Amino acid sequence: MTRKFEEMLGELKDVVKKMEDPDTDLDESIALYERGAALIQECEKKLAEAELKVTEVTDR
Amino acid sequence: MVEVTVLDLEGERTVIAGPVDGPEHAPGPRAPIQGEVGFPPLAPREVDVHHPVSAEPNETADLLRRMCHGMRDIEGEGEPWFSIQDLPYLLGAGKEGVHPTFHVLHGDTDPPSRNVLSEERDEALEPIVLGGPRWPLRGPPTRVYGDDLCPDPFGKTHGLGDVREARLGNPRVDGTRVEVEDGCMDINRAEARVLPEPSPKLPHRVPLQPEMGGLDPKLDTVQARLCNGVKPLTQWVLVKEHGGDRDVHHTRIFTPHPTCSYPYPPNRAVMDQVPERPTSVPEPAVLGVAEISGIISETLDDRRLQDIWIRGEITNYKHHYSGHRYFSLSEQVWGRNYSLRCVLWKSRGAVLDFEPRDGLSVIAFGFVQFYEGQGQVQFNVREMLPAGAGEKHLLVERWKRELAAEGFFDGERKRPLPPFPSTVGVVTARTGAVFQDILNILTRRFPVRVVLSPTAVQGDLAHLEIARAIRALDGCVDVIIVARGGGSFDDLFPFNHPDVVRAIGCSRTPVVSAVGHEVDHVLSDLAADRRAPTPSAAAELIVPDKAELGREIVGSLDRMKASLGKKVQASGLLIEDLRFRLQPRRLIRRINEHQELVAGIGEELYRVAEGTLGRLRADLEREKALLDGRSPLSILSRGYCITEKEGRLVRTARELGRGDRIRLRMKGGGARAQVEEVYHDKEV
Repeated sequence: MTRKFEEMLGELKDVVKKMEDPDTDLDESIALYERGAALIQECEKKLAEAELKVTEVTDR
Repeated sequence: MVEVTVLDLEGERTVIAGPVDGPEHAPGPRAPIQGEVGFPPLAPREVDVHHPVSAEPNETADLLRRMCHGMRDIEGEGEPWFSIQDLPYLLGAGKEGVHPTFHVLHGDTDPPSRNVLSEERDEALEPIVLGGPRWPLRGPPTRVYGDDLCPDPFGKTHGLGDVREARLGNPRVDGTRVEVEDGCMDINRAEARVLPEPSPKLPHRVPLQPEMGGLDPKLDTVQARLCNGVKPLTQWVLVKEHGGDRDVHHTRIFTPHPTCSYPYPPNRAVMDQVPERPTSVPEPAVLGVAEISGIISETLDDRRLQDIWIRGEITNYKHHYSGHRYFSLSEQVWGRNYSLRCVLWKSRGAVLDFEPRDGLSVIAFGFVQFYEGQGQVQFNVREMLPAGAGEKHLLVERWKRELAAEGFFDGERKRPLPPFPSTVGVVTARTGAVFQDILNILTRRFPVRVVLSPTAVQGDLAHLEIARAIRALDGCVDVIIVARGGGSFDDLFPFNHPDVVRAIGCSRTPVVSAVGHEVDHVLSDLAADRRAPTPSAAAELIVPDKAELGREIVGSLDRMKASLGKKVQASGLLIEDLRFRLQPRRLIRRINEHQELVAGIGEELYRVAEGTLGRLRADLEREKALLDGRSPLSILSRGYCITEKEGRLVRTARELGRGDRIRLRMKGGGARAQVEEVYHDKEV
């Protein structure tokens, strides 16, 4: 899991929060929705890509 | 006036009023400290970063030496006292060979204090026995003491001017006593939280005896002792004076009361300040057995025989069918046999984690009592451990104290774990189920990069390897799991070792300690940023669940859709509303309204204009008639003639000269003429 995933998830949460704000206008909401959908796609991709990589400390 | 009250075992009160001033204690020149009394001087404690002290180390050492030598002449005056601010330094001052233990006894005869205490008492616990034969004091004493788990109980309140906020530790109820270990206590109000019975594995608990306590209601008095193990070196009484504009805190030093017998002689010079108890008790000729039994019981109620650890070999072991166990603890010294009858009640025996048998070397915790029915002195065992394991337990407790003093277990050191670690370091055995369990959980929840730092997890040198394995990962990963599967106390022992605890405590990377099962507690748990009950739980703790994250992300999409839909719907409604408001019918009506308005204004304008015009016309006629009457031409009709010369009116004869051409106007026409002669009237 990368730092980027954390940031994306954070941004996604912000987007949703902003969209749920009744003061946000429609144009902005549409733009936010587009951004959010892109973020979701990326997050899901990251989740799907996550895999276990095991290494061992050898150099003592 | 300060009043210090000291209660002895029988509840007799000795009141020392005002400055204590005995003939033995007259002010005099300061005596040299070294070698004055037969106590070895104490080395000052090293000042470390976790417990900074502001006092000069030399000063602290000096003060401590003086304390240990009976506190004579601290200020060069008859009344030895020093400020309460010195207390933390004094408490932390003894190190080499002396582990300062701080006990605070608190007696308070103020009823609200007791109410607070009893209200907070857990009903499930043994009731607090007030009064009774073991507590012959006037009124029930409320006893609160810290133990040597917390060598610097006032360490958290540096610069305190008020001892009432001293941090002493978790309070525990033990029969008639309240024991405080880690936590906050308001001494003044005796607000001590009451927790369940102390764990049977706390062999460091040091008993308190009732010979000091029970205080004057006018005073808030705290008694404290600096102890070496269970041997008090000295004790002092902190007195808070009431009355006047300010509360004055200061500390008075007393050596042990003469009724307490200690393993070494107290300093007579100060002891003499405390008046001797009257010893002339009239002896009756014959005593009953009950009375004698009472005296024996009372005699045995001595601090040296209460709540103590005894080492010995089990002999004559009998596990009675009732569940109680009877045996002796024996020891041979120089060929001579020593034996002590012991009893271990069923309830206490149930928590033993080994089966006692004859010949087994053990250490036992309990108190000596007189069994009056049989006339026997016996040791009532409350906890018992096999000697080897027991010593290891004691060792762990000592490490715990030392490491706590170094600050490794402080709550403020704990860091939050990274919410989304990308690389997880695992310190555990390469083979074995633990690492596989962690990998399984990580695979299921959220696969990440895992770096294994393999180490032995048990054995005599395992602690070195574990510490090295932790340091090898530090800085290379986002979070470290230090894990080991379940095992016996001995198996988990390396995780108690200070090397491991320090490696965890000094790690820059957050550490999760997951050693053994839920019930196992090791010191590495206390030093780590998080403790997980099992290695699998640690894996669950450090990564989020992928499926849950996926659901959360999908949930975000739903929420976005919902809110967008809501906004679109709201916009549609808005447009509908506007359309309704823009209908042409409404517009025409508005135009009509305006047309009517304009027409009305036009009519009004016409009417007003008409009136004004008529009035103006009449005015004009009148003016014209007036003007007509005044016209110069009108006089011509009356026979006058107007003379003009070069187009200008000639008003006087002077304007004319001979030969001037003039024009005459008269009724009916005019004439051009030439002036033949000009003559002037005389009177001009």
